[in-house]
Amino acid sequence: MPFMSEDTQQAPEMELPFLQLPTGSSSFLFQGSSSTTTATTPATTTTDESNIQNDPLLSPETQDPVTSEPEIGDGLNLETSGITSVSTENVDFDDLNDLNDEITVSATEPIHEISEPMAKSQIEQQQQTQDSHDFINFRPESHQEIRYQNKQVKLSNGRTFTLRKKHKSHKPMLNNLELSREESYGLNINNLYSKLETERLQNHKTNEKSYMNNLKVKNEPGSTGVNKQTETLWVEKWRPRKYMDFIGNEQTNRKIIHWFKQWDRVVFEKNFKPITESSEKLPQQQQSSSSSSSKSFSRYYQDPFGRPERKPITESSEKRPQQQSSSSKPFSRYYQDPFGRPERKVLLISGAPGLGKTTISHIIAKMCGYEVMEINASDERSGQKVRDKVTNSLSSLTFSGKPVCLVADEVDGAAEFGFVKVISDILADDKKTVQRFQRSGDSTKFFKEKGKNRPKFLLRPIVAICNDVYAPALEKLRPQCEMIGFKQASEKTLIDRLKFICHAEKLPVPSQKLKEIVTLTDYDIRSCLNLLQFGGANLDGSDSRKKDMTLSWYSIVSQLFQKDARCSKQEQFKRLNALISVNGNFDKIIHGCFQTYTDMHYQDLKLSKPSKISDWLYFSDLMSRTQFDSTAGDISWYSKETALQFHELFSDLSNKSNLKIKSDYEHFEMKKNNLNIVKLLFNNSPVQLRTLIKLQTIPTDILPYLPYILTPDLSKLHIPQFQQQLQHKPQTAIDALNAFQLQMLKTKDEESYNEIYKTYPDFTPLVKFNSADIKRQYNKQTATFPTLITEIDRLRTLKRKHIKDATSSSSSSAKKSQNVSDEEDQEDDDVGETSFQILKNQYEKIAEQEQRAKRQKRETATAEGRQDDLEVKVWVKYNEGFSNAVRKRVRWGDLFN
Amino acid sequence: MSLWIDKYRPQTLNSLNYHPDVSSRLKSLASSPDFPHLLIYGPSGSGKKTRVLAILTELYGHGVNKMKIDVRQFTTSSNKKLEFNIISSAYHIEITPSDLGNNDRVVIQDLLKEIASTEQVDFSTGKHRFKIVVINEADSLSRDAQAALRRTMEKYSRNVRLILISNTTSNIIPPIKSRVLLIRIAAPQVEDIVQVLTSLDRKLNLVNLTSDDEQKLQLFRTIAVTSERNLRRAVLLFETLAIQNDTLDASTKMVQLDWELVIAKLASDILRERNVSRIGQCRTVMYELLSHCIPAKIILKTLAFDLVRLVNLQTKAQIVAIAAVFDERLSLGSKVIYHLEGFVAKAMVAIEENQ
Repeated sequence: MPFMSEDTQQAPEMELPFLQLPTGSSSFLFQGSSSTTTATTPATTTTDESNIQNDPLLSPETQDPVTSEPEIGDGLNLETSGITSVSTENVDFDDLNDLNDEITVSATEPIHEISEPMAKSQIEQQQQTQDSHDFINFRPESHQEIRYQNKQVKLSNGRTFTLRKKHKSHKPMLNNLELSREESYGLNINNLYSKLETERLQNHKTNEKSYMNNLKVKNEPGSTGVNKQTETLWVEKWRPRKYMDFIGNEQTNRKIIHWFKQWDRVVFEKNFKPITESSEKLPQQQQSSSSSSSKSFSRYYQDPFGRPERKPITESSEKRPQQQSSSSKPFSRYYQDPFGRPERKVLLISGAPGLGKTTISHIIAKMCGYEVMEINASDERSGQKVRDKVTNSLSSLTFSGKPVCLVADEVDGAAEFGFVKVISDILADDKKTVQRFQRSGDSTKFFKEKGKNRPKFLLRPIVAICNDVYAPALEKLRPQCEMIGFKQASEKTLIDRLKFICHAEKLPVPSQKLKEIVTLTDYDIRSCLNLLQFGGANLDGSDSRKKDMTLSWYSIVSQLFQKDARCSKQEQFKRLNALISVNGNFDKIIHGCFQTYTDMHYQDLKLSKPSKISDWLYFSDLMSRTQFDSTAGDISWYSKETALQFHELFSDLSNKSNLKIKSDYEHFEMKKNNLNIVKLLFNNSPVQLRTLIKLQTIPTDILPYLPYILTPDLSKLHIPQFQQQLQHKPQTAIDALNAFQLQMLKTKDEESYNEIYKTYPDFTPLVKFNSADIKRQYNKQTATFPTLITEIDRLRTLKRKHIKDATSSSSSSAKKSQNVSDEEDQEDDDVGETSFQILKNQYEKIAEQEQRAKRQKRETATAEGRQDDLEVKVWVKYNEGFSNAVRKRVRWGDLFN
Repeated sequence: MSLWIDKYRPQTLNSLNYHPDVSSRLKSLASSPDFPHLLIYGPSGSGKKTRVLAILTELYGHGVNKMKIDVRQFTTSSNKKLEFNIISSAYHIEITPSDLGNNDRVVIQDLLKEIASTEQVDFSTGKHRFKIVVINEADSLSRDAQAALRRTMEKYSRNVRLILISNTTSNIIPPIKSRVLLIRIAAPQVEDIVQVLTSLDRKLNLVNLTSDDEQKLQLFRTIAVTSERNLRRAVLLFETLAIQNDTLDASTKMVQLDWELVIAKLASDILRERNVSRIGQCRTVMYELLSHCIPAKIILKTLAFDLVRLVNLQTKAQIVAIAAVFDERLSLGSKVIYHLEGFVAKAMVAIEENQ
């Protein structure tokens, strides 16, 4: 069941009778689902029975499984096969005897009879070393089950419904490739290749024909010279149809396959379950299957005979704990992903146009058994529409029964922010879910969550294709992507392919010309083919055929820093000038140059070049400003000279062609954030203060002092002799807090999870320049703020008291309180009175008590000359929700006494 | 319930502590039957706003202190909706058009005209029939906005008077300058600040302040110098010191501003080593400062003065000259990081040459 996140899929299973279990029932999602499979197969049940009969060895151990092996439950929890282990897990999670009844309820009639013995047999199995072995052994059986159809299941509440078995519908690899399961994790590409090669040799002739077939048919009418009658574009006609048709980029192609194969586990595995720390299934499966029994054996394994086969290994059950601990280590290889998915879940293929990015992603996806769902720039890609589309396609099956692979083509346009946002949202959801999953010890419970907490895993591969990795739209997606850069095929292979095509199309083109075409088009195969097809008649090397090259700004930047030894300075200058003019993105190019020049190699004397370039940068700044100046007219065109100046000053032979351009994006983000905080503070300040300060002076003049003002040293406040001296300090701090309506919030430190106090809005990162200072400030606040909070409370009560004192006369209240206390005694006995009345009276009483206490205090205060506050306060907090506490009658009186 | 700078601000012209000549002049202006447009300029923290509020109080009485904040919406020519905060009382409004950046023209055109074309009806309290519009940060008004302002000032002068507040007059176009009365508020002298702090101390009765008068004066002087004769900073610093220390005397350690420390370190780094990688490091620090909302001009100024303090006489002059050039570039250009780095590079060259 690949769709863990699908509520609809899980729903019938989750409604299984486990709902009736009193406690601990929440941890049964997996068991619930797999128990139904148990129910569907009488074959399984018989196995279990026979098992027990065959297995006298283990019966003594069943008596106290929990105490002897406490960690069993965890291990089994993740048992994927799920067929026999089902009821065992139930037993494991809770008390054996308690739950047996429930298990029987959960299953259909035949199970009912055997459920108890079955449970026992499962316990035996847990203790075997070969838990993971079970997994393999039982797999074929689960395939068999498929043949059993529509099973009636009766629920304990009397409802019956039909369970339908899903058919395993895909083949792991198309194109004559048969990959066995074992190979899906570590892909031996060389084996694959040799396999393919032999196949290809075998079918050599037919293959060759198929590649040329369509051509031959179409070539018949126009048999001489250039084939003008061709109905299809050559680009379409000669598009590679399968993996072996590709030329060049061997390594990148393999990388893509490898990435795709990493998804196999989650996509194609029938009963996959998440990996957790406690489950050692996967490595152990490999270990045990390689050590004890051959793979082929496990594959042909038939269940009825399986039990005896496994038994010898069972006897080494004592070793299990050690093995478990040792095998949990290699698990880190599978990093933290619970499904063994690739670490980066989006594949970002980038490269110049015409290199076959789209083609290869389609072919590899098909080859790996996916149905390609393409979203390209022609589709609506904004907002909710694309969100629906993506989420639907990622979580549903196609009619062909193949899983979907999302191929998002041309994602680097300016209009793609919406689309990229959708993808990053999906990734963020996935990340969050994984984190929650790892934190939650109980996986079954986790998967049962619904609504907001519903696990949102990404379970299908997403491929994104772009030309420009540095497009602003991809800024956020980039760090989360597996990036694959496409490079041109080598000249030779490209020319060979063109020759082949020319030959097939009966177009006599000398290889010299072909070479020219290849260089002209900058190794763009697509445009090579177009050129051959349509410009084939006049191959005279004129520049008109030259593809209008628009290099991306970042490649122009790297070219600017390169000195070309082959051509003269003037030539290069001319070329670069043309490049920059065509691109037109002067500001970006210049900023890229500015960001990189400090890391470049160049000859210089006493920093003359950086100081010189600063003048040029000023020039370009002025020029680019004219774009927005309506009066003077746009002369931003001239700013490109600055880019050429960068070339003049900083280009060197030793500079590399693929440089990394630093981005100041995060600074802008941070500035924006900080500015928002300043604005918030400014807007929160009272009018009087606001007229006095400027927005700009807050971060420079006022905020740097604020942290100090807010955190006076109050440690001596409670010492009497200092009290007088320190009295003004909390007041000043509170005033400062009020000036910007700062709130004091208790939060958790992100690193250490210590409790710290922050202000809201938290301006500390704005004021302090390194993390140590920020931390120190937080610590100071943590020391001070609780005192301030109590002080604020004290002031508030003082104020309230003031008002009360003014209103109520003391004599009458004294009398009243006397009455009330009398009444109170009566009330405690009198249960007949409504609780509301009692509550009301109680509050009145407390108010009276407060009055009394206050009066008393005032007297003492006057006597001592200072105020001492020991308020008696009662809060009644009603927490709505579930509690399994014992219910008991509590009278209001009990609470108040 | 606010900071001391707000709490102990003088409310009337009479209670102003320094610049008595300016105060008396303003007073005579306010008592005369008519009132001119004003352009009040001076460095940050010299008390411009305090004086403006005092004038308003002088003109209209304490009613002007009942201020409220309104949010107004404007639509630009490109149909963009803008929100704009206005502080207003019954007698005046206060706007900061530069909040809207390039769209400040809209505010001047729409809002000012709207106010200017309506007349004050309530004659009961004030003796003047005009309203006052206070325009903050007039020096960052765009050309268009200033041009929009000049005719409004004359046309509606019956109903409205403007008080422009700015740091310098250099960005203000001559036609406006000729229509206003220029009043310069200089930064207070150290002794002025000492006087202000002394009177503040008298009001506060701080227990942890030393009772020795000599020590007190010494402390106040240090505060005035540390805060660079910026009264706002001086009072804030005083508040900070008062709350952070158990005893305040001449030896009390001043609180240094974090961003100033960062710039000081930058200056000493530049002096220690000058090469391209240092420029790269400086850029990182510049970015850091900018992202902490420190204006580029202030970074440039502080850095220049820090450098001047550290180098020999000949270089001093050069650095000041370079700083002046780049200060202009900062005002004319828009990509501040280029110019900050340019200053660093040129300063490095200057230091290198004079060694």
